[in-house]
Amino acid sequence: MSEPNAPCRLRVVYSHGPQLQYISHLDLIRVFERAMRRARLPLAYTQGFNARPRISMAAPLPVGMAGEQELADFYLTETVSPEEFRSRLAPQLPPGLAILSVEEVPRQGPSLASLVRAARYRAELPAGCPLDEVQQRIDRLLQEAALPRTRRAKKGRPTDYDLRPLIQELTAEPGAEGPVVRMTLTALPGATGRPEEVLDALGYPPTEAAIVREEIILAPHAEAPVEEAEQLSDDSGDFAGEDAP
Amino acid sequence: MAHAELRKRAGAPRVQLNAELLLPQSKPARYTGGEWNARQKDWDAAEVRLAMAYPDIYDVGMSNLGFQILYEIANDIPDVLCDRVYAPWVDMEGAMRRQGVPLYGLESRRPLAQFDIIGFQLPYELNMTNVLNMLDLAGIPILAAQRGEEHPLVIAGGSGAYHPEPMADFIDAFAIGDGEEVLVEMLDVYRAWRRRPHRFRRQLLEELARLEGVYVPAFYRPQYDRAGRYLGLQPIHPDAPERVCRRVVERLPLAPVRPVVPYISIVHDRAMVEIQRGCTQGCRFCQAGIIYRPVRERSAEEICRLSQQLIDHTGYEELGLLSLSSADHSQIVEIIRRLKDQFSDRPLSLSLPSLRVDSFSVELANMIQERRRSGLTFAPEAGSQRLRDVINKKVRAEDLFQAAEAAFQSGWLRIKLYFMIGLPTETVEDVRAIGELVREVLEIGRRHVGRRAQVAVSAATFVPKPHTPFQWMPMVAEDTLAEHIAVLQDVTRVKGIHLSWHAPVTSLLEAALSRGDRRLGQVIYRAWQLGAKFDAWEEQFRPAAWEQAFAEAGLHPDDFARRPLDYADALPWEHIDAGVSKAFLWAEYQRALRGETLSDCREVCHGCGIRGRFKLLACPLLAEEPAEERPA
Repeated sequence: MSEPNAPCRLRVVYSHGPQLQYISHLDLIRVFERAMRRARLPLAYTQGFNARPRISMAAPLPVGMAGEQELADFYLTETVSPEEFRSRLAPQLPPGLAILSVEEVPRQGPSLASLVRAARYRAELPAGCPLDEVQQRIDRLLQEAALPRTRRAKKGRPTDYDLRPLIQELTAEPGAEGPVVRMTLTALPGATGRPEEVLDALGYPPTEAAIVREEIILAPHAEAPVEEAEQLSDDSGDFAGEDAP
Repeated sequence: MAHAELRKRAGAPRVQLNAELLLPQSKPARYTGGEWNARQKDWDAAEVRLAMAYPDIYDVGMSNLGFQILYEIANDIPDVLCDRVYAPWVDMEGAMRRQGVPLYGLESRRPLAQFDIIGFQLPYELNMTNVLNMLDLAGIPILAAQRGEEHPLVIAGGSGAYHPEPMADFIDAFAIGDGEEVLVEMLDVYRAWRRRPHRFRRQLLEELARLEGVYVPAFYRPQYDRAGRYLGLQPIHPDAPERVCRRVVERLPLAPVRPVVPYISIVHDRAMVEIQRGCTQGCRFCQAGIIYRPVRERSAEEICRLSQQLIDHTGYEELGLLSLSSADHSQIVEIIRRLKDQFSDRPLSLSLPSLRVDSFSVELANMIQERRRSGLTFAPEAGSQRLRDVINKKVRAEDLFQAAEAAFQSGWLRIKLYFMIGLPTETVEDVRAIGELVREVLEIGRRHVGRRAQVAVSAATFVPKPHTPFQWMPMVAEDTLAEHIAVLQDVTRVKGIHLSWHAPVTSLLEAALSRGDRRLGQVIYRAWQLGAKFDAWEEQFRPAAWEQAFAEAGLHPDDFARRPLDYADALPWEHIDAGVSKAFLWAEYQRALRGETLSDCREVCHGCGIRGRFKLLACPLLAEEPAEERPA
């Protein structure tokens, strides 16, 4: 990703609101690309036959989820200060996308995706679920030594994996309507926990909960990046049927 | 706003969209709106609320330039709120029906039944059942006669409104012709009617019927003889004119520069600027070539200015220069040169659909595509010179070969050729000629780029269309069609040539629906009841439903699609005046049968009638003529 035409790399923290929760990861990149073009910001493109915008997301946000502190790196063909970038791009973003912060990062540094370690989620359950029942189910689940599950992909073969080691933290608390489940799940290549799977393991239908990704947790600065080569499962995002009519 | 308080503002609340409804859908963002440039107007403050409806999925409807034009025009009126709605795909429709979610406007999320007006765009015969399905999903009575003061007014426009009879039972008023002005007038009529203390739907229809270009089917009664032959329409109301003349805007209005930019990828995902409306080529099969007359060019100056605003406001990476025949624009080279210069500071690709078959068009394609020359498309339409003369497609085999030569020479690898099968007077020999033509094109390609040369052949079944010289012609017989397709498959079975063709079974329905009279209303209604929708989508098409619907009405598609008509016969679309005279169309039909061509009407006026009908001072209306001052 260190092609010569991109002397400037900016790391953007942004929120991805529920208005946009039904667009796919690829759609989101196009939204940013067109906003960059409207803002007349010098977005870099990959070289070659099919030039693609050089915007790298830390981790694709699954369709149906909002994100409070999402992360993306934007590569530019000219140096633009973080302040100018923010002030020019912000008015061109559709409702639902808002920039929280922008900083310049070394352009030769490791890719953003390789720095991701975990993610924190919040799931708001419907008003009818009693909090003590949620708590009991969490306690029981955390006592399990293993949680064998099968991930059914929209395309490709289903894969078997163990959800238990991917759960770093799992708690419940009262919320505005129903109880709120908070969780921190590992997000490494080939080992990404998904909040819907946790809810399902708890016995709550995921479509009835509003799930928000609160934060993407990156490696501390000193730590070496994780190679992206072995992408076994679960980190593909959810490209909702691009080829379906 | 005193009247506003009088109106019943309450009613069903906004539709709540939830994950259970949306998440399982193939592309849920089709149903959530809120795209860039979507207009979010205040529901309560709006005096007239219009829902623009497109009877096909979002991906298709969002690609329609006319829809975007009217959306912007209506929303620019301060007290008008214009929302959008597209046909939900079958997965979403099923979920909506199971959960009891009514069809809603994307921006307002209000149920369609709460709008004042539903305005359908009718682009094509094979989505007529979707109009019924959308009304049903909205909980609005499907039959116009069953709608009362409490229901929205249902209007329709677009090229499908030029033969409105099959849809006459379902639509309150059709707008014929260019929509830019007549839509605004219809909204004015509606607003004035709405302000009255006592309102009757009939008054509204009467006032609409007095507008130029508006056809209110309830004010006409069709007549048939004992044998069931259509005899014509009888106006049964003093406000109903015998013929409804289409609307024409003499100069192209400034086009929208803030079109809605989709989140998901759609059929034509690009900015669109209409460089010309109408076409002077005079192909006899082409309905657009008649109903968009006269040709109206937009000046290079204006195209460049609009393009700049369009790209600035959308961020699109592609700009399409739209017209029925791009290479005919008198300033086309200058337009391309200036646009390339104007956007040289950023990656932007230009696209130029509807190229003529000649080497000049290849030069244009080379100008806009400097790298990545993958595929070029031409439409010779028929294989033999004889048949091309019949349809007045002014292309010689040499033109095609020269174009192919120029294309392969400049690095294009694939040429796509459009043909029609079942054209009037077509013989097996004409079909064989297609084979000779495409094999020669492939040979030319091989000489230049070797085995990488490819020729794609796309064949569509010819459907005789109203308002064209072939409107009197029956559709070709089933067995002839099958024979000709078999021959075509045979003569194109060559490595390097790829043939695709459309299923003739939908073409028969298309022909029946485009040439039918008001009796088809009950057939469409019944077919929809039996599950017909998305008829243009091959995997959704239900031939058995249509068969049963025709049979129950005591009718057959052939009664409409294959009935030969004579000059004296009443045509079910004759009360719609497209501006071109019947005498001209008939003369063209006779010339076709004699194999005589007619030159491009930029060269000489052939007196089609449009000039006198609309008192046009100049025709075609070219861009370089001194234009009066126009407001920016």
